[in-house]
Parts: sequence; structure tokens; C-alpha cells
Amino acid sequence: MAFRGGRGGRGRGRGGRGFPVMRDEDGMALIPKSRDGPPPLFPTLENLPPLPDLTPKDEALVSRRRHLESAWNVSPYYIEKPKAKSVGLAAEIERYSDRYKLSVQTKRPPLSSVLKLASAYFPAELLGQGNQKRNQRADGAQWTLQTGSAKNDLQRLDQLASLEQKRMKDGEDKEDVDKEEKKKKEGEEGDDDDDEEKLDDEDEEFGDDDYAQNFGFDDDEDYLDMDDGGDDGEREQLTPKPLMVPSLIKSKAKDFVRSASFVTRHETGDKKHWPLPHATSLTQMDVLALLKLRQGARMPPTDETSQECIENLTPKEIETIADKGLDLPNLDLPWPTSLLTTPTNRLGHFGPSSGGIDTDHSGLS
Amino acid sequence: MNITQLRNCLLVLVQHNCVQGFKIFQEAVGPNPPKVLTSYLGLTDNILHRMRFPKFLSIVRDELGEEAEALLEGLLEHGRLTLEQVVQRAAARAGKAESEVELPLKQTFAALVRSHYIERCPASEPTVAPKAIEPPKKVPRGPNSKGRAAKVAAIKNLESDYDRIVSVAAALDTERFRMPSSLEEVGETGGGDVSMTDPVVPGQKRKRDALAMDAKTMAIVDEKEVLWRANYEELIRKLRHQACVAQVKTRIDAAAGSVLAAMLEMTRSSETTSKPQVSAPLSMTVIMQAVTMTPEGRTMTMERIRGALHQMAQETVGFITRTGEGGSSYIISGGHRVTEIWTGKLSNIQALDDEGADGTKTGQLNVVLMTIAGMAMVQLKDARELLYRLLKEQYVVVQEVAKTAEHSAQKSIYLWNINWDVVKLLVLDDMYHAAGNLQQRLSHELEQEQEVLELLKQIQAAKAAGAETHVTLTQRQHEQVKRIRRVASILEASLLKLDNAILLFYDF
Repeated sequence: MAFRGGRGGRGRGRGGRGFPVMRDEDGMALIPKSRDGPPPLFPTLENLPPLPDLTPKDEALVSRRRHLESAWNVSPYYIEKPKAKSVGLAAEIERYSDRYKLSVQTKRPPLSSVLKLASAYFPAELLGQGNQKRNQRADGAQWTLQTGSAKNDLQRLDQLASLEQKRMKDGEDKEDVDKEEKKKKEGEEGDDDDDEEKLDDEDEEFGDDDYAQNFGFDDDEDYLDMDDGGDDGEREQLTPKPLMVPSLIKSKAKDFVRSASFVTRHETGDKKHWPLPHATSLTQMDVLALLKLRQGARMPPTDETSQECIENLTPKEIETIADKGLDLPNLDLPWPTSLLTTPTNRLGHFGPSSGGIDTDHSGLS
Repeated sequence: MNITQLRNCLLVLVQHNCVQGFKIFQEAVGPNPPKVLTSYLGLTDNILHRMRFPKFLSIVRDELGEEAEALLEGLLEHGRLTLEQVVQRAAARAGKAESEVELPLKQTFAALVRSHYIERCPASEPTVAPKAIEPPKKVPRGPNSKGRAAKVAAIKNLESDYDRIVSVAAALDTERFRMPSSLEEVGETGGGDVSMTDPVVPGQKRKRDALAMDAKTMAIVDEKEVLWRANYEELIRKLRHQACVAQVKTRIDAAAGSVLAAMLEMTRSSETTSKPQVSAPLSMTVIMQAVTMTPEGRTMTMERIRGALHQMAQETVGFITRTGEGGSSYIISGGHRVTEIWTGKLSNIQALDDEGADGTKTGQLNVVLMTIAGMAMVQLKDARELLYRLLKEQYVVVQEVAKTAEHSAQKSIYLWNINWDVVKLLVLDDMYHAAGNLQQRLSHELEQEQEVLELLKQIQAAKAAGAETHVTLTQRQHEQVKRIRRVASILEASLLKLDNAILLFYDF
């Protein structure tokens, strides 16, 4: 047995030695070096020239260059690429590093504060829908962004800390419910995202059956009150989130509107009028207009965002919103809770899966 | 990228003079109605000038002072600003009221306009004739020299369209540097009447009154509506003059350098193109006056000046040429001077080795291998190897002259030659690659140390606000910060030095 193994080994060795070997100009064999991982981005070079000595003139030029670059980075001219993770599941996950990240994005003034948006200075097609009004700040702060950026970031950090303390105080009594809701929320998000993906595919498959006719029929009269009460508590108990930037809120509102407009698509396609308890004329503009109204009435501090406005709505205001036929944009869930009713779940293919959301609304309170 | 983002990006690029929009009128084709299309051209020259902003600032500081430097910095930071915006910015940064900073700022502004360092912005959307614009032809790629020559020709085609569009957008020089009407008397008399001036011929009282309103409106329009930007052409011209003076100082002496500097200063205003080959002629007396006005030339005697001019005018040197009746005037031959500089630079390139230094002398002629080996004093075998390496890199070209009809290698003469245009492009290409590599390396190094830099930012922010911070750096982090500071300084300084060579090969 050992003999056979040896012979086999020798035979294999012979076979290996038979491959042609690469040689360079001098006749030396070239053996490719085995690499662990990808090749280095900046491989080390031999025979490098000596490092240059920096004169004071060079230092002065370098400092001017850095000054200009730092000014451009905080200016309104710095257009940030929208993050791929601003929608969908990844955006729902809170990251610890994002919470305290010093971000200049929310502090950047709009382009209209420094650009003269008139046809004399720019091609007409770039000016969009009519000339935008210049929002020049009265204190001339757009000229001193660079010098004041440190102070603004610190102020922002202080406000974040105070907001967190406030939320932690209110949430002390409801810790257990908070944990349960978190678990369900994670399950919901996983299922809801799957359902959202299915939604577009199965949009066309939805036909004229009983499920379609009964879709949206909400026979639970107390649903809204319980839901709002539950949602209020839920929002207050949730762990502090990072302040949401307006673009994120808008993308959330779009998700919300898309899911609400699912109903309208079928209505127009099948020319049926479904007895929906909520108005189907829900638009993103309605929600944002309402939030702005809210902001205007309370004259909030400069850093207050729409997220806080939603969270600080009183029950009476919530009722008013409901009466107008608008659902409160629950920015935690991609699906509006008004659609998560029993008839919806019966349909199965676009409602959340059975393992996820508890269709009994007591689960949300 | 959605349409709003695209619009914002284009707005920012136009604001910073990196893109020029233009209209093309498309005639009606078949049932389609005639339409006006807006197209955009990337201004590559202006984009590359952004590397040189620190040098522009240092030029203006040396010539006009710190306030002028601060003013120009604002224009470079924002791309384009009105006079009103410039005043607001200065007031905000100084923490003073606008009325306090207005007068000295307007004096500085007027000085910059007179020196042509700032100009009025060109038209935002000029109309260009449709036949002038052709789609860019695909540049043929190939390792042989024919491909290279075709590439040079294609580049020249593109440049002509580019120049056409830029020239259509640009206004006349008189309009570009027309002083705002509210500043026409500022600066000359040291704080004269800042209010509107009366441009009307005296004696026509009624018309004067009517036009007084127009003048006032014009003043307001000039302050609030006219956009100003840095004039890159003039700043590059200044850098070019500095390079020429430096070359003369090394080749001849400092006195000759001072004389040339004075001559260039006198002819600066008469230079109409960006790369003039010859300057306007200057007579002896004018040169004398100009030299005595400079701080270095004040102590120079007439004989000394005459001697320096004679040295520069020698045929072998050729920096200036005598012309005019009896050789009384001098012309600075810009083209020859610049060629001298970069020919000298090329001869120092490592790849050419010893052979290259002598090869430049033989560049005008086709030479055989034996002659090259003899002149470079290298072995025939080494010369052959070096020439083949140069041929591979396309620095030289070879031409076969067959003795017999069969074109056998042994019975043909091979002549070697250098094509300077191609070599110049090759070297420029390599330098652009090097600049790109430097930028990449710098961003890579900064990314590696991102954590430590964030900590540092926090500490600095806390210190600036006067608040205490619990964030401190460990010993290792201190070392990292020191290292990254040194590395970043070296990389940025190297980029600025490489930019000097790029300027020499492209902009001068």
C-alpha cells in the first residue's frame, strides 16, 4: 500500500515537473510570487529620490490650498451624493456611529443663498420651474461658514444630548412594552420590505376577486384611537434616533405615499370605487404641508426637524389629521398602520406575513 | 442621479467657471419644428487652473497686498461674485458694518481691475453657429507613431471648437475690464467721490439730467448685477514672466533678470494672446525708464543696462532680438525663450540617459546610429539598446532608407529623429498622470487616518468653543497625527512643484 502511494506521489511529481518554466532575458526562471489577497494599491518602490525639503514659501502655498479646500467642503457648493442606504431596510437600522457623527449636511445653506439664479447668469433650462427666490440669510452667515462650523456642530451635539435625556425620562415607565415593540418592529421591517418587493411584482396580478373588493374596508371603528394612542406611546418610548434630515423624511414620505397609492392604482385601473375609510387623495405634499403648518404654529428652534414635530403632536392634533383623512406618517414603519388590518392580512401576498405583525391592534399599543 | 441633482451640479460648475453653456439653433428637419438646444462645454483649462489657486493668491499678495489677496480669495472660493456680494463677505468676515469696509475695499477692487487680475464674467448662454460644432471624433489608439500623430491632429480639431465657443462667449477686452461706474474715481485720487459720476459732455443740461438717472441706474446695476471673476489669463501670464526671468537669471545674471522683468512689465498690457511669440518693440529710453523705476534696477547705470541687453540679444542666446532702425529697439522672443526652458528640462529626463542630452542637439537632423554613439560617447551596443528603449516609449522615430529593392535589414540605413511635438505631449501626459497619482495617494493616506482626524476635529472644535473635552489622544495617535501632517504637506508641495513643470509645457 505504501508502495502504491509512493509511486502515485512520484508520478504526480513528475507530471508537475513537466510544465514549461518561464524565463526572463538572462535565463533566470521566473516564479510567480504567491499573494495573500489582492495586490497592494501602492507597492513599495526601490531607488526612490530623497524627500523634498519644504521652504516657508511652500508651506505658505500649502496652507492657502488647505484653507480653500476646507472652505469648499463646508460651502453650499458641495453637493453630496445621496447615500444608497437612504431607503429600505438599511436606513431603518440605527447605527451607533451615525448618531454622533458630525455632519455638515444639515447645516449647509441652500445654493440659492449664494447663487444669483437669474437668466442673465445661468442658462435658462438650469433655473428649473421659475426663478427660485434667493434665501439670503440676513446675518450674512453664508460668508462665514468655515469659521463658525465648529460652534454649530457643538451646539448641535448639545441639543441632541438634551433631546435624548427628555426621551429617556418619558420612556422610563414603559420599558417592557418598548422591548416587545422593538422585536415586533424588526420582524415587521423584515416582512414589510419583502412585501414591498412583492408589491410591485404582484401589482398586475391583483384581480377582481372578493379580496380586492373588500380591500381597505376597515370595520374596526376604534382602530385609529387605539393606534394613535399606542403610536404616541410607542414613539416616546423608542430609543433616541438620529435627527432625520429632510431628504430622509421625504424618502420615507414617498414610501408611505407609494404604499397608500397602491390602493389608488387599483381603483383607477378597475374603475371601482372602494369604500375606503381614508381619503385616497393622500399626497406627499399634504403631509409635508401639514408638518410645515405645525412648525409655523409653534415657532420651533432652528434645529427642530420634522421628526420632532411628528413626535410632539398632541392627541387633538392627531385627531384633526385623522379627520382630514390623512394618516400620520409613521416613519418607523414602511407600511402605514391603517393598511395593516384584518382584510389586508387575509389577502396574504402583500400584507405582512403571519409571523410578523400581530394584526390585533393591541399589539401596537 | 436625478434631474434636480444634475441641475444643481451644473449650476455649481457654471458658477465656478468650469462649464460654459451655449445655445445651438437647430433648423427644422421634416415635420420637426426648429428648436434651440442648450449644450455645455467643459472648460478643461479653467478646471486645471484650480490647482494653481495658491500661486495666484501669492502673486496678488506680492504685488498688491493682503487685502487684495483676501478679495481674490473670495472670488476664487465662490467662483463669481458681484461687487455687492464682495462687500458683504468682507464685512461679515471682519465683523464690521458694510459702510466701514466699503471704501477701502472698493479701492482694492479698482486696483485689481486696473491690473486686469479680475474681469467681468462672459455671457452665460451665447449662440453658436451649428456648423461650427462637430461631435468629437474618436481618437485612434495605437502603439505606433502614426497613431500618435493622428491623436495630435484630433486634439487640435477639438481645440479649435473649444476656442471658438470660448471666444464667442468672451466679451471684448474693453468690456471685460470696464470699471464699475461707481469706482471710476476711486483709487486714483485716494478716496475720491464714490457716488455716481457724470459721463455726459458738459453743456447739455437737459440731456445730462435725463442721463443722470441712467448713470445712477447703471451704477446700481454695476454693483448688484454684474458678476466678476478672477482672470486666469493674466495670472498665468504673470507666472510665465516669472519663469522667464528666473531662466535669464540662471543663464546670465541677476541684473539681466531685472532688466527683462522691467521690459516684460512694460509690454504686459499690450499682450493680446495668451501665448505670444514676440512682444511689442521697446526703445532704449523706455527700457531705461522702466528699469530705474524698479527697486532692483534703481542702482543700475546706463552702461550696465546696455550691457545686459547686449548679452541677452546675442544670437546664441536669443532671448531678445534687436529690431527697428539701427537696432534701437528690442523684442522679447517669447517662443524661443520658452522652448529653451523646456528643451533643457527634457534633456534632464532620466529615461533619455546620456544619449538624450546629446540627442537634443541632433534633434533637428536625421542621424544614424554610429553618429549618435559617437556624440554621446557610448558603446555602439549600448546606444542601440537605449535607442530601442526610446523607440518603445515613442520618444524617437526611425526612418528606413533602403539601399536595395529587397529592403533587407543589413543593407538599409536607419535614420533616427526626434519629433518635439510628440515628445512634448508624451511628457505632458506623464506629468498629468503623476499629478493624478499624487492626488490619489493623498486621499488614500487621509482616508487611512480618518479616525484620528475625526478625534482631532472634535478636540479642535471643543477648544474653539472654549468648552472642556474628555477626548484625548494616545501617544500612538499623536505619532499618527504628526506623520499624516508631514505626509500631506510633502504630497501637496510636490503637487504644486509638479504643477510648475506642467505650466511650462502647456500654458507657457
